[in-house]
Parts: sequence; structure tokens; C-alpha cells
Amino acid sequence: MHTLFCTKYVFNSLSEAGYGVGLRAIELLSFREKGCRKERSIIQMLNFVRTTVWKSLFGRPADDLQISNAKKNEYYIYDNDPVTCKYISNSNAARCAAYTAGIINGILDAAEFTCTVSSILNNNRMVFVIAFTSKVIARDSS
Amino acid sequence: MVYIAIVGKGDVLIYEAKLPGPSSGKVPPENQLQFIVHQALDSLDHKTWSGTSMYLKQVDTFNKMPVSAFVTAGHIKFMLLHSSSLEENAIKQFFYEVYRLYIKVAMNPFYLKNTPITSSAFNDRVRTSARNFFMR
Repeated sequence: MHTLFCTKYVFNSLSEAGYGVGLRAIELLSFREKGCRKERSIIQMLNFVRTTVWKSLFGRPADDLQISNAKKNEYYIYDNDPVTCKYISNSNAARCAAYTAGIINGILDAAEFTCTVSSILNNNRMVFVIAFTSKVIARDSS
Repeated sequence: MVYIAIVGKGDVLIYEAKLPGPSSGKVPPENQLQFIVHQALDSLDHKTWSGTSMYLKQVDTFNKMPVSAFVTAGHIKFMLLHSSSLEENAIKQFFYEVYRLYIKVAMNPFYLKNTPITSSAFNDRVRTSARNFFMR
């Protein structure tokens, strides 16, 4: 039982499950909360994820949004208290943020901001690293 | 006669229907309808990124028949080929109604995004709202 939980397969499945949620969340929330407006730039889209999506899913906005200093296509969303990791009494609790990473990935992919999203625990805060493809960055800067 | 096509990612046709609408002079033959809408996709892509509103008004014309479009947050495109006598407000209300119906289909966890919509309830409701908005 214990070893089964630690395999990579589990966390990839969590990501995929979250992806389906993300695809649906963006349609529903854009209709309900945003009055049928779609986002154009990366920063607007990420702010939408940080405030509207986080508030409807977790009851509060995410703690911080930053752009990476080194790589221009990476953005970070911080969450001090991720709900998905809270009640897991296993050493792999932090990796369960793969579900939320999947949700973010689904939302951004649906809105044509293709990216990869991963979750890392850093200084007791969960960081979601969002790396956009070069096509998206090029479109955003024009 | 009004023709609606719902196009998903990668230009995949998810739904199409010929709906009741105000009678127009010359109706393109059935096999041409898809070509006309497909041709309009280019100008639609161009217009999508020029603003934040989902309703894109008119994106293309074919023989004086305008093609109006609506892009959802998930970039699913609703395209309508209609006669120029149709009011913009009616089209806009119709698109919002179809958006509401599409969201209900999409929320189904068994529905895979970008696959054809086979729900008969969706079909019936789209036709009913077309009758409500276009046959006035």
C-alpha cells in the first residue's frame, strides 16, 4: 500500500484529473464571475487564476504572483496553505499539489496559453511554476 | 435560414445545424455551407486577439451573407451564417443562450472536450432559442 502511493503514476493521474477540472472551470467562471470577457495578456490571465479561480475553488485568493528573474517565460504562483496537501499523513503530501497544478494547466491550455505547470515546496510555501511556450511569449509581447 | 457551426480547437467541427430564421434571397447549397464557415476562421482568429469581448460581431461575408462569430473563454468558436437582415442584438442574445447551453454540456464529466455534441436536449434547445430570437 505504502509503495503504491509513492509511484510517479499516482501524481501524473492527479495532474490529469485536475486538467479536466481546469478545462471546465474556465468556461464556468468566465461566464459567472467575469461577465463573458476573455483575457488577452499573460498577466491578466494569471491574475484571473490567482483571484477568481482560487477564490471559487479554495475560498481565498492565492498569496502571490511573481515573474522569474532568470527565465522570461516562467511565472510563480505562491500558496501558503494548499488544501490538497492538508490531511495526508504520508511523506509525499506535498506532491499532491499536482492536482492543483493540473487545474492551472487545464485553465491556461484552454485559453490558448500553452504551458507546463509543476508544483514545488519551498520554505513551507507551495510554489506553482508556470512555464509558457515561446509562441505564447512572442504573442504576448506583440 | 440560418446556419450555425460550433468549432473546437484545431478546427474540429463539434456541432452544426440549419436553423429556422428570416428567409433570405439566395441560400448557398448545403455542401457549400461548411466551406464558407471554414473560410471565415482565418479572420476570426485575427479578430479574437484584438479585444476582450467574446462576441465578435461580423468576421467575414460571403455573397452579402455575413458570418458572425462568438469565441468562448475556452476558445470554442460559435459561427453563424445568416442573412444581413438579422439584427445584431438578436444574434448576440442567441450566442449567449448557446453559450449557456454549451457550458451545461461541457460540465458533464463524461463529455470529452473537442468531441461532437450528440445530446438531443442540446439540439432541441438550440433550435428553440433560434426560433425565439430569429423568428420575430
